[in-house]
Amino acid sequence: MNGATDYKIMIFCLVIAVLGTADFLIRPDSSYELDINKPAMVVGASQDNTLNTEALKNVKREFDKIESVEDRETIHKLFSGSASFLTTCKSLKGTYQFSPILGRVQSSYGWNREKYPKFTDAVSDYLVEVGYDEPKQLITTRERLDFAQIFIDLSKATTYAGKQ
Amino acid sequence: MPGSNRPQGWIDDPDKVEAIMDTLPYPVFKDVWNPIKDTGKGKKILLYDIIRKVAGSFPMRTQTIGDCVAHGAAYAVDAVKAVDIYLNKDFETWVAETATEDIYAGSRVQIGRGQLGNGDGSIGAWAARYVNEYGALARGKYGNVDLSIYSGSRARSWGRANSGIPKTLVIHAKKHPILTVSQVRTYEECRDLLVNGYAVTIASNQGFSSTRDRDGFARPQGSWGHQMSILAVDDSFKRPGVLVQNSWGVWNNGPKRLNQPEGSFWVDADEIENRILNQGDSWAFSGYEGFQPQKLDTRII
Repeated sequence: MNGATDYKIMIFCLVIAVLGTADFLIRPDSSYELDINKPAMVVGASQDNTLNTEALKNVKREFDKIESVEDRETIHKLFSGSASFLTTCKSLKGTYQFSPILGRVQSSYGWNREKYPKFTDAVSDYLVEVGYDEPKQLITTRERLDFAQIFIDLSKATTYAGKQ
Repeated sequence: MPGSNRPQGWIDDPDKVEAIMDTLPYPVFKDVWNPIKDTGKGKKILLYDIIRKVAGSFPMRTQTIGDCVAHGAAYAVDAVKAVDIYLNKDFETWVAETATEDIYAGSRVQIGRGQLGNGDGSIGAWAARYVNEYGALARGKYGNVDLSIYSGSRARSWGRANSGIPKTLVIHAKKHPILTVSQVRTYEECRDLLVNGYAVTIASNQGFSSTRDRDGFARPQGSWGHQMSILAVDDSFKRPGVLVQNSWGVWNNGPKRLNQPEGSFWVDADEIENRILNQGDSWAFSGYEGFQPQKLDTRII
């Protein structure tokens, strides 16, 4: 599989994860296949909802100020889908590769970054606090899971009515 | 004569090439060829396509002075950078195409010690030694030096005997060297190098037709003192050969093959060996100390 195809598949898998309608299996060669019989993992809905840092609590506070249920749902799905994707994806070699993929998925949803600037501020503060801004390699399972945990926590902070 | 009125700039001086080879740990690729010998037989690799995938588009270069040596070397650096990212999965990021002004001036002054005076031109071995010892920069701003856009006049100015590239730029360049450079003399060496992700820059007095034939090949014709780069090899085709990328923008025409870039042409295996590689100033580059990804944008939602 070449890099461009790999990239498109990663975007596709993230879309699938965000949609929450299916899961994907990863073969030993890091290629993917969809498992339509398995429900998507919605990380935020099944985890302990304790928000363990002030920055994360602020994300929650700003999230709760968003009145549009549709937007809250989209935000939660983007974070929980990202968490699900990053938990299983083995193709990313560095954390810097993720944001462009997320951006493409957001575009496909018609989502514009900075739609709620104070919420963006809060998420940004949290990401700086956990060191997201420093590019890191994603080689070991530990490194991948640590990176996924950032989005698991954001998913927890953005649970909303119906997803508690 | 096709192309003879366009800027060239390679200087044929075997003694100066020999002097550089004395300073290199692996001056002749033939000596270290064995581990990959014949691995490229019957194979094809399109480095220009890898550059496209990594960079988003293929960088078109149009030299305005006799600094072809730097343009030919810069394409080879582009290819090595792209291979590092795309095939070798190095933890590096593509910043921009490789700048040429620093390679040109550095080859003439930092390596050549101003021996060529103030006229245009340089030597392939000097450029190879420069990118190996001093490095190669991506186009962009470095302190108060702006290398974002190609400037032939800046290259000429820095390339004067008593000038050279600014010391502040040397600090940045030294972070990004090409790790090994070796002389290439045969098509088979060249083929095996490319298939294994190396890039080759070539220099000679050989010119070529500005019209490609139905297979995308250009006929040897005329005389150019010129340096260019090899960005593909196709040993599986009925006419084994290499793709040569020129730095004159869109200067030629005729059929193309395998989505080859504008300004390029295929050359038959025996022609590239007998007319170019045999002249002894063609160089393989491998491994680039690239640019680490910068701080990530945290405004992601």
